[in-house]
Amino acid sequence: MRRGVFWIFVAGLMFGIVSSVDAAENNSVSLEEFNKLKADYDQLKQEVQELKKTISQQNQSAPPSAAQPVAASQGASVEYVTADEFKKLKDQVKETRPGLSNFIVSGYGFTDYKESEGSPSTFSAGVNPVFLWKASDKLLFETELELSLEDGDTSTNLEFADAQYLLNDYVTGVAGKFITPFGTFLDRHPKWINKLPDKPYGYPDGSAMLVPESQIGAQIRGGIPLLRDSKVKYAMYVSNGPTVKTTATNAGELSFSNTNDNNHNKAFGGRVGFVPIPPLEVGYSWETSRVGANNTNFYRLDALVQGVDLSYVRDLDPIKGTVNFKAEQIWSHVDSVDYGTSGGAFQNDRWARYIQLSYRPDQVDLPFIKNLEPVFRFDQIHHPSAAPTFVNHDRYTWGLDYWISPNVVTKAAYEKDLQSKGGANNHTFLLEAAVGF
Amino acid sequence: MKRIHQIIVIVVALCAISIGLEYKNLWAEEQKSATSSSTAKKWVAPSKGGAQLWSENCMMCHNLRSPTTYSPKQWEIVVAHMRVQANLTAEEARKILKFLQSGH
Repeated sequence: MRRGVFWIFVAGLMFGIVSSVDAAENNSVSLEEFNKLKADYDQLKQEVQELKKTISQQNQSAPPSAAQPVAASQGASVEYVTADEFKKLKDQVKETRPGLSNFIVSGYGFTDYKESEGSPSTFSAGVNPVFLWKASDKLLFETELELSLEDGDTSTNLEFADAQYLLNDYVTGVAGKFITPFGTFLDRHPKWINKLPDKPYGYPDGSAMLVPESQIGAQIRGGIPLLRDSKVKYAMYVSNGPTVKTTATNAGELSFSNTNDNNHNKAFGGRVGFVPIPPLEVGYSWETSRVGANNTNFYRLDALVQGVDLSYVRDLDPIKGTVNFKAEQIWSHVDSVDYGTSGGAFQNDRWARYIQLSYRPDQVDLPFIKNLEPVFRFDQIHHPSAAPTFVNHDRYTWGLDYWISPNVVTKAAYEKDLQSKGGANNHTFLLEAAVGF
Repeated sequence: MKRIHQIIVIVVALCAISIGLEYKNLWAEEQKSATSSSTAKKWVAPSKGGAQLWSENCMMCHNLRSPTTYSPKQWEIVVAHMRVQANLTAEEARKILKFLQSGH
């Protein structure tokens, strides 16, 4: 089964490469296009001749002190350019230098304030610079660093670092550490994009997570247009995959912090998204992996993580604003085994889900009101009742954002977290300012 | 659990209604063009401009940033990055880039 999936992945990669070659070979022009291009070329040629003639006349009449010589050698004629022309030439030369014009620093910075019942209130801050380098028309390299303050120290994390090669119009190959193409939230987690100061349960945010933010491996991805406005988006990857925790306090939980594979099996996963009409997207994601370490009793443990997502973003005239609706559910299954804990072997199934709705009245003429965006989210995470030390959560979050500009936002949110298994219900107040750059 | 099922049913129903309305509008437009031109194509996506593609695709994830946010050269890099991130086709990316660069 695992080998079959591997060959399907290889076949997909080969298809992409072959399609790329086909696309290059079919890059022909019609007679009509050729004639048009020829006419354009003749016209340009004529214009260049006229320009040359005009410049030559100007050089003969203009005094040498009015411009700067750009080329002078023994026996060669001296040509003059104006200051503007000289600056333009300088810029053109600059643009050809690699590492300057094809390089950009993007990303986001943020500061948070959190006041939670029973815990000391705290400020935190961080910056996530994203470095993008377009090495050629087909090759792009991207990396993101995560720098944040944690317990008095600055923590550093390499969020992603990958090379992307455009195989053809519909297939891109990616290799390195990449954002996991699972659901829609992970791609949209940057603080200036996420509508609330924290992440929904199930996604990486300090608490138990069911999917990793990024993975190390290779993937192919792209979009294929269908009939009318509809479209299919896809991503398939192979990666080192997660490991299973076997300690007494969190036995059976998946860990995504490993950088190396702990066995000879790779994880396979992906997402297929369908866009029937542009404001709506539905998707299915999955990842299958062997999670036990070699030469241990847990070697044969397999895990399957699946997810469905729905996203609807639409500017609606009757309500003078934009509605943004998101819903996702994740199921995680790890084979049952006895970890030596008091509960013995247990059915290791977990799930997390959220729905989120926001509305921004951006068509209203009042400047302050049009920048406000109320948000509501309901999220849950449930663990097996026999799993050690896990608490189920049902959380309600009400938030209000104020958009200073499209990429600068301040957020305020109140959370009511209902916990099971003896956990105390929690009330939290959050503030955040985030800037995308 | 019952409440979640109710929410799912409501969401699916809203989606179905919205898809229905969207297709109804497209069908009406098609009928209109079919009467004015005998060569009107059926069930073929109309060629969208860069501005429309920019609005439709970028807004799905984040607020729309002004074309003047980056220089034309910088947009080349940003759009190349977003083409992969948002699973855009080459044609969509080309049109969006052209639109963003035309704002300068």
